[in-house]
Amino acid sequence: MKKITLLFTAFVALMFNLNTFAQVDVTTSICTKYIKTPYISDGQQYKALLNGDEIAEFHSTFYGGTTYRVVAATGQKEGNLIFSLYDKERNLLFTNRDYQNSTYWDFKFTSTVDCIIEAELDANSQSKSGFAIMLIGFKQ
Amino acid sequence: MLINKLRAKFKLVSAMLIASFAINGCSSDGNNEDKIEQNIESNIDSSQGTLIKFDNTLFSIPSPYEIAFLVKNSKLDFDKSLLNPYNKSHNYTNNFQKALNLGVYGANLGYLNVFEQNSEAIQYFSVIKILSQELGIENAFDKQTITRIENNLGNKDSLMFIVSNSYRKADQYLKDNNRNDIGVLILAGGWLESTYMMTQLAQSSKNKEIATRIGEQKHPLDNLIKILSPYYNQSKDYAELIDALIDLAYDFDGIDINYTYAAPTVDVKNKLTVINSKSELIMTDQQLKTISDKIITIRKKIVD
Repeated sequence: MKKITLLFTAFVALMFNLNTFAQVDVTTSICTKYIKTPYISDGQQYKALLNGDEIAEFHSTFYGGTTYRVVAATGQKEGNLIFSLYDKERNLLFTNRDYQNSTYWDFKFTSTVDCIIEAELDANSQSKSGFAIMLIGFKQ
Repeated sequence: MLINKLRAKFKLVSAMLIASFAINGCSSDGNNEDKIEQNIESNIDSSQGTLIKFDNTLFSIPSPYEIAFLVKNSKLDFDKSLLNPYNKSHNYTNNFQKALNLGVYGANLGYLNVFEQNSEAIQYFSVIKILSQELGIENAFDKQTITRIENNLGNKDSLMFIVSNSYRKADQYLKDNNRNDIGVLILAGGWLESTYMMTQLAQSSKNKEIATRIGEQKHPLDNLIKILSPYYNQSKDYAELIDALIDLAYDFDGIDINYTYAAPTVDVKNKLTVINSKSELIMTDQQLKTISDKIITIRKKIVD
């Protein structure tokens, strides 16, 4: 009986695992379609598991004279993730909340600025948890 | 100076505390996603409500390609002597050396691509492919990718897109397979090589723009130390590398960056926000020289 329980648990865990990987793959595909030429990936992929009202935080330096594209998504469709850009003094520079939770946005930096990006699930969406994926590209 | 040192040490201790939680999470049995979840949960910052961190990483490191563009835009000529010769790749025998030099060669390839040195770029690409295979991340440079690269050798823009994307795939693969100890070394190698090339160009050309770009590495270096710190106790090699970077960070701490906020402007139609805030960087020639000398020393240990 113990063996059956163990096998069943392992099966459920495997299904959960495959489902999670599938979700991440779909979300990654959503994001990568927006990093096209003339934008080039920064070579990294950022991922965070969000539950409920948790907020993921990400620090980056953006160089003056460069235009960047930030893409962020969660789940299997667009518009469920809110991302906001702050400077180090916590001045809000942008939030996609003001633009129907747009999956991507471009930022032209006139001077080099150290920034913080926060990402959270949209409370109005059906998602209660999920992996948030974020990609950054810069314009050639 | 002492305050700066204490601050840097505090940064390291904080990072290592976070790291110890992260590594404990990794050491338990279970599937990858459970581990990722545990790591993320371990990093919940109770002082800030429900704030969590992306990937336990928190921080990004500038792409070597991005820095190569900054160099190109400064109107400096191509200088082959800055590169780590591709035929030295046989000297790198363990994963630590291979991963660091995969990052180094990636930065070299970015520099070659930006300056459209195609024949040389092929050699560097071959070395990158071999090192990737030896590190078990050949999926990033799979057959399809190689064919695309070969078909786009004369197209600088496409080539840079494909190679950057391959590095992103490698990063993803290593993170998903709990091999981020290798991933962070690739990032470290890329950052060090890019910064090395900039310091050499700044010294030889006295170009102020490049010097400013070097000073702007102050926060990326802090970020790099933070993402490497979880692996401080993994081996003597990691500890020595991190110690050398912390020592370098002391010198970067002496650079002042004055920041002034200005309201951004938005072009909704084009989904574009212009960030109008300004940063002014203050760095002396002596600071630049000290930083350059230390980077030469660190790089020498990696590539020789």
